[in-house]
Amino acid sequence: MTIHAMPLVVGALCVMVIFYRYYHGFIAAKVAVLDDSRKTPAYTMYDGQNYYPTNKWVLFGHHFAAITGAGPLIGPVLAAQFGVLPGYLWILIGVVLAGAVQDFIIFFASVRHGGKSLAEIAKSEVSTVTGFVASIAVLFILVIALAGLGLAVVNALAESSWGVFTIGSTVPIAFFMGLYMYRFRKGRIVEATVIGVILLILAVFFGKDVAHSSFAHYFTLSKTNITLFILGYGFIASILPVWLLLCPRDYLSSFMKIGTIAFLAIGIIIVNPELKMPIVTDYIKGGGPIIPGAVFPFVFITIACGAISGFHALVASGTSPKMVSRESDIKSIGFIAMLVEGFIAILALIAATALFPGDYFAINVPDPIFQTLGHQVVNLEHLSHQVGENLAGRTGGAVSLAVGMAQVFTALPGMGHLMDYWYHFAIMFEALFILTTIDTGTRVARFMIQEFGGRFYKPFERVDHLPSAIIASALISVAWGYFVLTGSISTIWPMFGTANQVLAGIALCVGTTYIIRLGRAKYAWVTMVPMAFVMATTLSAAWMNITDNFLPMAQKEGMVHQAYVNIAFTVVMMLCAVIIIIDSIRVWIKTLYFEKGQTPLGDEGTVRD
Amino acid sequence: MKGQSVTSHSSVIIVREDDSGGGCICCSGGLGEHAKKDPSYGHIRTNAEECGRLHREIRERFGEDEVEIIQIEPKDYIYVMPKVLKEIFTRGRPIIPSIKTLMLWESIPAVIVNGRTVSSGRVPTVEEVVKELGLDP
Repeated sequence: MTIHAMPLVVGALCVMVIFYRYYHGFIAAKVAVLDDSRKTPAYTMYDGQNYYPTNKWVLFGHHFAAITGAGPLIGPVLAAQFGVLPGYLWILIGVVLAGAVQDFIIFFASVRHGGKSLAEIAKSEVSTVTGFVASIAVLFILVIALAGLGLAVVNALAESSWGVFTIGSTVPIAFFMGLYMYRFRKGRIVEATVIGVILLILAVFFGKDVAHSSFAHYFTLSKTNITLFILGYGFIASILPVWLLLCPRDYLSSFMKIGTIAFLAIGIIIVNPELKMPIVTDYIKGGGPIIPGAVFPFVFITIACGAISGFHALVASGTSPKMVSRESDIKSIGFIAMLVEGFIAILALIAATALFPGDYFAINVPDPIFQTLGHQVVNLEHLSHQVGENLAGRTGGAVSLAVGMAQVFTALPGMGHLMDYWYHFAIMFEALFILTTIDTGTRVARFMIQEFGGRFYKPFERVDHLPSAIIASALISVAWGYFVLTGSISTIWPMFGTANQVLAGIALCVGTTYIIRLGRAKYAWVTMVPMAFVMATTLSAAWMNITDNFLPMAQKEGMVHQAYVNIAFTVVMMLCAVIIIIDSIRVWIKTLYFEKGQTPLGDEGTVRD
Repeated sequence: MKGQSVTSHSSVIIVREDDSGGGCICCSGGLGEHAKKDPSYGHIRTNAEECGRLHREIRERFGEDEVEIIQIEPKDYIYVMPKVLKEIFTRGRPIIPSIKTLMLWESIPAVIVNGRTVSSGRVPTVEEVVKELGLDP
């Protein structure tokens, strides 16, 4: 049976539109009861700087730019090992029933709480224990997220002089942009960004010459060396002033993201590629070489962003609630931004499944394991020749996504001979995202560690205290660097998915509690059902990860330490989830049975601070 | 724009950087409130505070039905471009400066009033904005 991309794309769009119109409309009208007569924090706390009303579509752009990163691109590619259908269905069902609902309800709760963060809402709606546990969970989740994304870059750049040159160039380019826009020609941000984008494209273009020059060996690095470089990069980037690296990188990533994703969408619509991957593979029963475990429950943690992402809850309770001008805008922004992210995840899945299964597995599985699978490569040699690199055994998802994207782009009229350029452009595009996340994530984790350390030694919490900043950054960089150095995509990605979904479960728990406390318990199922599903699948996947993967790993010589560290991290995340579930259930029971008859929050229109 | 009818809906677009940091922050959650502690946002924060001051002063003089204020980061400018383009066409702005405005080829912070850039590289006084609006406060 031949499947083409277009029916999947059109089908996904139809489902999203129908759910937005009816189901999300129902949640907005009956569950949240959005009320435009209520003043949002943009008015009640108006200061013109952090709190101010913003046009709906402008805020949509801001919110969408914030929630979309590398996650929705990598997860679906890895989940393609189960075939086209499992990933497609989970993205589609997950995004309309869980992801968009989570983003919306937390956005809404934050608006009703004066723009407070998820941890603060958890503290005020559930308890201080839940608020504290949520903060701990975020720190652990950050470490694993940075490791998962870092590993994808490491595997994409290992032994690739072209890739290393191109990605390496992004650092001096960002430095140059920072100095340009903040020192030489102050405020000339668009000018600096245009120069930066041109330099990036030149770095892709001339990367080929470097790879074929006598300098190539300087840029041909092993996985260990690249890991150490990225680790050092994260450490330094999190200490440097934001204007020197983080801000310019952010501009580059934002503009490249919009352009490239739009181009990929247009490309897939025009090319309408045939999907070579079967509807389901034999790995749905388990034993998959990329994600170790059966489709249930592992597909639900392999694809996190794109279907539902806990990190969105942090964004939805960040700047957006402070800027929304009317409650009804929350519906368009909260739901649609997530639906678009789900659509991007489907595009990534299509790009990956357009590869022949043999080629896909040859790229995503180490060669010795691939030899045992019984798959035959079809196009791999030709693809490797076209991109100018050996593609076999380049695990992590980033390479197969780049090959898939490059295939789509080169199928466009006049692009046929540019496969190697498009491939390296796609690698640069993915790495740019991921390095931006590493910048920001390491810095956030550093601040959290400093805040925590400040309880014991006051000067430690001062972010401008260099020794404290160095210690905190080193701690966090070593933590995620350890996982990249010792782990593989098969161990780290399920942990990343677990972490992200635990955070999503926490957010849905908080959302459910809020709905109940609003006096609308009869509608609490809209978040409780996805919460139960996400928590059940995530906790069971985490448990299976421990029993089926990490404990056997601990029996292998030289892997004992790594196995027990993985187990410890997974157990901490599971405990965080369980504590929050129990604490939330306690509050639900208390609200429903012991505080019955008391004025619910919603009717009175007040939210306790 | 002098001579403009008071009932006409005018717009002020304030483009400035923000200290909350970050697009593409999906898998880190972004700096959020942590950014407020980071001293290296100093210059960006000062500009944002000045823009906040301008926002408040304009709002003190004009209601939302008179003047729409849009305050954005440069990376979100792309979502405002259609509005700026519409303003340029409907108000018959000259071509060359309009292209610069449309491409945001200005120093940030920049303030665009009814499709015309009234200041770049600094935050204007409210009087400058009021003058460009041509409305009676």
